[in-house]
Amino acid sequence: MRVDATTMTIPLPEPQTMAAAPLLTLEHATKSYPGRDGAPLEILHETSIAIDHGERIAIVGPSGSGKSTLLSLLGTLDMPSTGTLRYGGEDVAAMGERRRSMLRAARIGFVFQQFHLIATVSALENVTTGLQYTSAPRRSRKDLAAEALTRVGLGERLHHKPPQLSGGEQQRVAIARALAKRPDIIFADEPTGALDTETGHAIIDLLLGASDDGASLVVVTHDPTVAARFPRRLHIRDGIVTELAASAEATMETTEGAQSKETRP
Amino acid sequence: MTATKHDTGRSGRPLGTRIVDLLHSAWIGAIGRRSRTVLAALGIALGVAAYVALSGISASNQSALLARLDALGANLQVVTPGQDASQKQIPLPRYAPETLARQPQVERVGVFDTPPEGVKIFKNEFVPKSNGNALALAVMRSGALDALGASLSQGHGIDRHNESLPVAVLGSEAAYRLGVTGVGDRILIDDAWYGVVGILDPVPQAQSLDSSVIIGSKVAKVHYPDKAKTIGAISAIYVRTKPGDAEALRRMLAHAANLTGSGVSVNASADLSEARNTTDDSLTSLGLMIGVIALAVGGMSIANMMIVTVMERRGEIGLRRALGATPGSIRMQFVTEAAMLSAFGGLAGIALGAGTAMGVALSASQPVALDWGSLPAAWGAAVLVGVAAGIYPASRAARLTPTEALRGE
Repeated sequence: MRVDATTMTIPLPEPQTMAAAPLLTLEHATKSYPGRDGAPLEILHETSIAIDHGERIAIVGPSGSGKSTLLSLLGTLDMPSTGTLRYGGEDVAAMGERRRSMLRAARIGFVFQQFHLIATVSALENVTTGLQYTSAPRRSRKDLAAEALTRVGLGERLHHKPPQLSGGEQQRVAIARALAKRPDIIFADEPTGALDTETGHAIIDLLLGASDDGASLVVVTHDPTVAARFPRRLHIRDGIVTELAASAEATMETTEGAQSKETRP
Repeated sequence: MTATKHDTGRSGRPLGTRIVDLLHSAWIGAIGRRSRTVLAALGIALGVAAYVALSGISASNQSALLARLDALGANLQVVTPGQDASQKQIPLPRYAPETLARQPQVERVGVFDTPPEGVKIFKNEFVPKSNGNALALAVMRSGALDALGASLSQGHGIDRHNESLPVAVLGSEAAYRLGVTGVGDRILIDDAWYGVVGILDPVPQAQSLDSSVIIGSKVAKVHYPDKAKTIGAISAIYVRTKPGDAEALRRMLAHAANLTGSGVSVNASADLSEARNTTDDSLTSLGLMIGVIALAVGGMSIANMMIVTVMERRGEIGLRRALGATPGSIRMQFVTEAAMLSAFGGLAGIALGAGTAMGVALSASQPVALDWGSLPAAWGAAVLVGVAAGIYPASRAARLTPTEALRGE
């Protein structure tokens, strides 16, 4: 189940055995983009990852190392150039754009560094938008949204618009938007990147707390103190993903902090 | 979290919910940038307003014109004696005025008798007899001028009270040529004095009266006892009818005037009936043209604004894709937003155009007339323009991949 890039041969799980199977598996995936000279530039080298139900994972690495690319692949926002992504054993590439969108709508929550809130509407409306593409009946969406906002401590600020909220509060709205649909997995891309340290940790508390009721959580961060709070950590550098041993973390990640200004490929 | 496990295989959203969601997203997008929305919708509004206003003004003009035409004599027919094969006049039967008046489509009947020929009319006895002034004598039975709809600029007409007295009514041109400026003057008709009791306004529906001197039938028979028989023959009957099919009316009038239906000539008093059918609608065409051009320009400004909007809102598009929006729902959202802009623009334009048309009609004291049936069509055209304008920007939005879009902000 842990990364085993060279020898991984996963038998295809039967859909019936879904409960026992991992939530998602990424098998021998690479991602490359056309470079300036037209030759493909490989951002992510061959990687295999499996994520279980309820697992909490931090992805760490310097800027430009491919963290966000990996997150986009895992979150079905982008397709691997080669290799396979499976959710519950089903090949995501074979689903087609439409069913992939519905998979995201029903099972995946996202939190972004820049919050991505709609600035002109209230917090409640923003969270309701998170339910727009789910099968939740229209009538119940407001209730679900209000409930999620209360859960992140914004029960008193339902009708504030994003510009009237602090950065930490805006990120809470974004988390509530991800939580409201009760996803199987939440992907957070540098959720603390735009916040001060204290607020950032409060946000991580919130995310970890939110996953208490069974959702998996994958957080991309370059902050070692944030990463240290996760039981499983993946290190990525130059497109190569390494599973970090618990003992290796301190030395590895303090060096990462110094190198985080690396130029993008 | 297993309480509401969602099915990934089907879209669980019913059509109604999808439509409401779509309108809701479009509304949020549209009100998010109010001033830009208003500006983009303005082009559409002006296009619709131009069409509605000009066609409304045209409709008001038209109904004012029709009202005037009807007053003048679009419904005025003239029944005159017909001619037989040898060009000889067939006199109208004596009962003709009475039977004509009895027909349900007929409102009023005015009878003119045949005037004696070679009548000489002068202001007084000092005018040299060689100075002919080309004035004609007309002989009317009482009430004929009313049926004609002729109005008097001075005095009154010839009616039951004065039809036995030597009085005359002058056409406007006749009064001018005779040098008669007011009621109370006398004129000399074949060496007999007549008092002028009235002067007519110009009568476009029977222009020959303008240069005529009109006397009553009874007086004429007394004045010209030797021609009493000729005078008793009807020269023309003016018949004011209710509006209706002109051809059927003429057939009916011919039969009423002479039961055989022959030997009668029935004509419209003027070509006003034709005018009624060919009233000017060039203003409506102009409005349509301006409207189409302005709608096209408005459509372009909406398309332009939507392209900018899509570029600006890449972040939102990426977010919606991450939230599970399909490319199709992104496309529909932006098309709906463009359609909503032009729908509001169209409504504003209808209000503006109708207001303008009403204002112009009232200030010109014309009847307020709007082509109500064309309003939904104009609005529909505006919405269609919006949809068309939205398709390209919306397709660009739908083509963005989620990661491209999320990077964009």
